[in-house]
Amino acid sequence: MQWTQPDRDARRFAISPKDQRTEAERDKDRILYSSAFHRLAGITQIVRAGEQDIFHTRQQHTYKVAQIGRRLAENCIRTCAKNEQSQWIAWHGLDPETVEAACIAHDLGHPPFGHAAETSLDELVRKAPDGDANTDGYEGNAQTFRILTKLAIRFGNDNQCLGLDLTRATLAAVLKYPWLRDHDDVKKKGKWSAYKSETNDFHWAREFHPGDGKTAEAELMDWADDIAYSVHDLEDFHRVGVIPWWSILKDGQRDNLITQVVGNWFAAPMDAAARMRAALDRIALVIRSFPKVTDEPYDGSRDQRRQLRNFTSKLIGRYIQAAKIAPPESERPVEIERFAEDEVRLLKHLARHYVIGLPALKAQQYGQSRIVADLFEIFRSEGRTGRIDLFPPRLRYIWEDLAGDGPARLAADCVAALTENEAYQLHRRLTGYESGSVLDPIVR
Amino acid sequence: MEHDMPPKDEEILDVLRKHDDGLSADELIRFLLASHDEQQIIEALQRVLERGKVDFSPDALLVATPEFAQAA
Repeated sequence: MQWTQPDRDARRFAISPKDQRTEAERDKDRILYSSAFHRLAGITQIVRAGEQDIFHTRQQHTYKVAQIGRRLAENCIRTCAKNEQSQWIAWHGLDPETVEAACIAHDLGHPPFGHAAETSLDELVRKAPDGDANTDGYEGNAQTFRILTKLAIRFGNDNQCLGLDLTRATLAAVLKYPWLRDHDDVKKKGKWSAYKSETNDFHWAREFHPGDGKTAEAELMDWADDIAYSVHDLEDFHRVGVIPWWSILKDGQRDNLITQVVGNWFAAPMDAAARMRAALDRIALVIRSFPKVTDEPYDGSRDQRRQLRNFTSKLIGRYIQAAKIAPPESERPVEIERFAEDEVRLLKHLARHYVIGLPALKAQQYGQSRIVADLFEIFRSEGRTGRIDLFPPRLRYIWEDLAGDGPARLAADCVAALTENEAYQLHRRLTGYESGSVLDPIVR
Repeated sequence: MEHDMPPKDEEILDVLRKHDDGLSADELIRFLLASHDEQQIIEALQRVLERGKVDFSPDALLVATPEFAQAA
């Protein structure tokens, strides 16, 4: 459905007066200056933030997603202009600033310790005792939407406007899975972008987009995330030497890898395995131009870094150019060429295929899940009886402003607001393992 | 560019221009091995990729980018 610029620029509360910026620019700035964005420097996806100082933090990842998202939007706009299809851009609504804003916001809801903690929190919220259980559970994307609309602090709490009061276009652009959770629908029970507690904000953001389709800007944000994630995971894990290129390229582990990628592909098509094999063949062809990546253990020499940068740069450019805006009324507003979609799917899986099974990582994740469970239970059980003076002051407003959302949701909000180091420190203090300093500004 | 070690950019582009569908890195190396050392070819390949004269096709083969697809 077509939406006009005033539809896109609308804000639910519109408290601040307009200034010299466009509405999309204001949104981007608000997200960038939020404490939720600041926190991402202390979060990673697989390997703990700060470990070996090699792995991308969530914030470094986010900067790259934002850069790629902006370039994707600009390239789509230029391509449409060149082909005299600029009306397609107007019909779908596409502003590079909005895509960038959505990219900056897209991971705000990631809890400490990545996906393992996300799964734990989902179960903890759904199975909370004392009548606190909330079937909506926990999901990083839905938490992102909750942060933007309720948890982020920008205005006073006396005017019903919680959160950042973003425009409709930006809120719609962060909805990667634009539906509420539905346990009876396979597609909607595993991934969703808003909790029922944010139903009003969700429907308002989606007013001009009935159905389950993403907006063009959300599609580009999602594709930018996929590109950044697939390429920098590959780069990170290559640099620490866990990707056995010789085996991947010489077919030793190809079948095993393909089987796993296909197994993780939701609603995989019949030709999924053949497509993944072809994608792997193409990646192998590309990487043959960069033998210092595949033929030598990484030691950070100038030549190695040059070839690694050439390789990743070519991949990113290849995938940016593969996205095009679709004609009006198309089922999907953005078309991604299949070769690129397949390669990114494979690359996303490739790095973690060789990392997930590391015994040290499994032990680390086990411990992290226990920390998340302990913290959740302390927040929930003490919060529901009003003992919020135990909590760091910066988290207490959650219990004061949003009491109606229930203790399980609020406890999850508190856990999800921590960095990984804060989670370790707060856990040690609240469980009595280590008292810490009463002057510690983070956890006091 | 005048100080580039051989093979020069133009030599690589000449080979690729003769193959509209593109060449794999191994095929390109084979074409040039008669007159150049493999390490020199790899170095030259990095240069033409960095300079945007050569890119990868959707099939992942090396091709001259449109601006350099025609002989000067």
